[in-house]
Amino acid sequence: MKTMQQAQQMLKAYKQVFTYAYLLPGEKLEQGLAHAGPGQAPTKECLYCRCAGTAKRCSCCIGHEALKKRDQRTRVEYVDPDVYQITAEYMEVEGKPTVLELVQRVELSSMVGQAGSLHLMEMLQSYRSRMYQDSVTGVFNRNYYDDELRDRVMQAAVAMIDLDNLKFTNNTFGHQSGDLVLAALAKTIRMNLRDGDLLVRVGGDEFALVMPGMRDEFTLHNRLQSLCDCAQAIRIPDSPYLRVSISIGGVIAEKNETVDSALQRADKLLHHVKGARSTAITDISEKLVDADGQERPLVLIVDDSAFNRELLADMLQPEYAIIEAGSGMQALKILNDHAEEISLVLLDIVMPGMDGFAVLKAMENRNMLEETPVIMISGESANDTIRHAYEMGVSDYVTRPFDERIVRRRVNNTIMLYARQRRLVDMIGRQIHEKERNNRMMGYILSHIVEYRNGESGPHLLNVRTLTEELLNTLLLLTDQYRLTVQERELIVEASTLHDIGKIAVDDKILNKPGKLTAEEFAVMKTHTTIGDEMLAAMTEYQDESLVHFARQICRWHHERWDGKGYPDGLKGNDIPIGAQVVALADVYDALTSTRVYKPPYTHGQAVKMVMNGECGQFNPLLLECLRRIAPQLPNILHSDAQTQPGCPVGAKATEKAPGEQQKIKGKGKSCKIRNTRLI
Amino acid sequence: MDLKELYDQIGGNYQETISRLPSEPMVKKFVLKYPADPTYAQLQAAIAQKDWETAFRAAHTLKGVAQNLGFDRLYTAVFALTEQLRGGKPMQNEQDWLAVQQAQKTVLDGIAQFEQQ
Repeated sequence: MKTMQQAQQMLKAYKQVFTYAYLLPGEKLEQGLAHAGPGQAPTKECLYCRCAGTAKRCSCCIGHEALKKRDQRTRVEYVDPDVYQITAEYMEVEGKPTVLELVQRVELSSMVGQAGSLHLMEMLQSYRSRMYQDSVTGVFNRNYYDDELRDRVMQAAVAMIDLDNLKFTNNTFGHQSGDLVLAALAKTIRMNLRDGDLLVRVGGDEFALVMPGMRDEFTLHNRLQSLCDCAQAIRIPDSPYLRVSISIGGVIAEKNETVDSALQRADKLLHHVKGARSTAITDISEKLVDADGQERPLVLIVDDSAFNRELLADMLQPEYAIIEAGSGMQALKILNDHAEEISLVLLDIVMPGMDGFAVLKAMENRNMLEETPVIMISGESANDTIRHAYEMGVSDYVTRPFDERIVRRRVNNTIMLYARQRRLVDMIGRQIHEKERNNRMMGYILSHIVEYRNGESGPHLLNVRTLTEELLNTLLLLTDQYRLTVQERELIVEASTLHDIGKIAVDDKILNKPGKLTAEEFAVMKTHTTIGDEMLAAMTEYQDESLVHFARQICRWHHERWDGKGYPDGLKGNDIPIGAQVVALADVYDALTSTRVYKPPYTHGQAVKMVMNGECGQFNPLLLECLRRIAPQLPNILHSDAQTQPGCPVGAKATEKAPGEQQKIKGKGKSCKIRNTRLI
Repeated sequence: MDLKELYDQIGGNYQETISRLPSEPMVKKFVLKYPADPTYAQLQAAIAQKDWETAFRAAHTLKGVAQNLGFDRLYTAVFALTEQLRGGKPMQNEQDWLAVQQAQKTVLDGIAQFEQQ
């Protein structure tokens, strides 16, 4: 407890050290607070807002804090360019609550040591950059744009970059992929910028690009176009199907124009090219060229009235290139000549000669409607007519009188829809292709592992597969006795490579014995059929899969004979599943035309003859007919040893042999029966 | 005489037309093109030769042109004629054709006047 006199003396002493020192009566403090809340300018009565003598609002006054809490509070205030340290201390002077406030102006360099101040700066910087940096791409974010760029007036080129199909990418490949794409795009763009260029992510899939100092439209257009090209070249590791495509609209800022205003203009331009991918557009773009060098979308207008054609053409320019036809016949001719290039057809109904519906029918017959959308244009608004048009496959229908904005919108929407569809089809096609390739590879690898053990050469599996495919296709042309869907056909072809996987369980000594097998050895050898079946049956997974189903059939029964004298089960005729029948024939044929330890390869002609004569097993007569039919092509589509001369001794051919095999030739005069035995 | 006045004179609807084709230079361009359009002449010839199929198509086309340009009075007249001729039926009632002729004349005169100034 101090007396007033004591307090004043204390104050005097403090004033020698501190920049300012005040004694604030508690009452006044509280009143003062009522005057100046946050956001209000302080009045003269606000004693405590005398910090640094400036009219600066104090939204949370430590004097008041100290008063309330009855203790000491300290605060650092930054009033450009100075820093102030303020200490408020509660005390009682003559019984009344009072606050002693001490304000010290501080030299920043003395307050924090050199190292300390650098660290402080860095902390402040990183805070700033965290505030202004987009977490996914590392470029400036929307906050930065709003705080720093939007209202700037500068001589620069301003462009809006839009990433195409981000939503689709996210949906198809997951959000992480979307982020990867954004990050890759940002990186690529930054690599192609000059010093001083600014890239800002202003939206989910939009970037603003500010290029100070650029004045020339041609340069701008070229730079933007090259950015499009770079984007197209982006490949994401681990995601080979992802393609990056951007559209850019760019303008040169006008005198006294803010960045935001220029960006809006650029954005408007951008929307003109949103349909075409990888396209840059500036004011000077007469042609809109995308990365493939294609021109702007081509629209075919079909109407017998030149007046109407011209009206439509005027409405659609300059975004679309126009080609006109005055009659149905002319339209069809143009469609034939320019099928790929036409993005949309605007078709009138009432025309002499071929009317609109006739044109539609012709397009339908030539399968054009899938790729080329048609918008019917007519004065007929009778629902019947409209319904008929839709039934015939038009995408949309527009009636007269034309509303320019509506027509343009519909044209644009339809074209974009079809363009997107085409992109999707491409993408899916690529994926499917890849997947199929991989599947096939796995099948080969597996089979090769098995075949390697018994010294088979690579082409055997390929050949069996090819033969199976050709025989099956021919069979299904010859007869519809065997109901197989396209998928089932494909599965049988794939499964054919697995026919000998049972051999993995057969002893090496038997498998690779160059001489004749004893009866016991032969019995063991025969088990490769049932073992193959059992191995597949033992798989707990995939028992329901058609592929497994066919593979089991083929493994088990590819040594059955049409007359029932085959093994392991002695099935007869069409009791043998057709897949197994076909593979049996393919297997025999390829063995005949391949080099073996005990025989040279026969020519294709010889092999066919032998099979047809029943010298090498008994087969379905229909299948034999198929073989006869495809025989001429076989030398071309198979990789056979039989390409070379017949009767050529084994030793003279450098074939890959598994270790342990003897290079012994059995005499040529062997009958087919024994050859049969070995042919397994 | 400005474009709107022309429209008023020939029984057209300028407001509606400009709302659909928002560019005045464009509307003007096509209005001035109208006299050269051959459809009316085709219609006339077809009727004279009693080629009702062709007449119907020509009437239908003319209807569309008038509709696009917002020449309402002409449109209404041609509409009636088109319906009469639908299906290639011979013209029964001359009135419709006369109304078309009259409306056409008004339009052509108006445009000529507009062009001269």
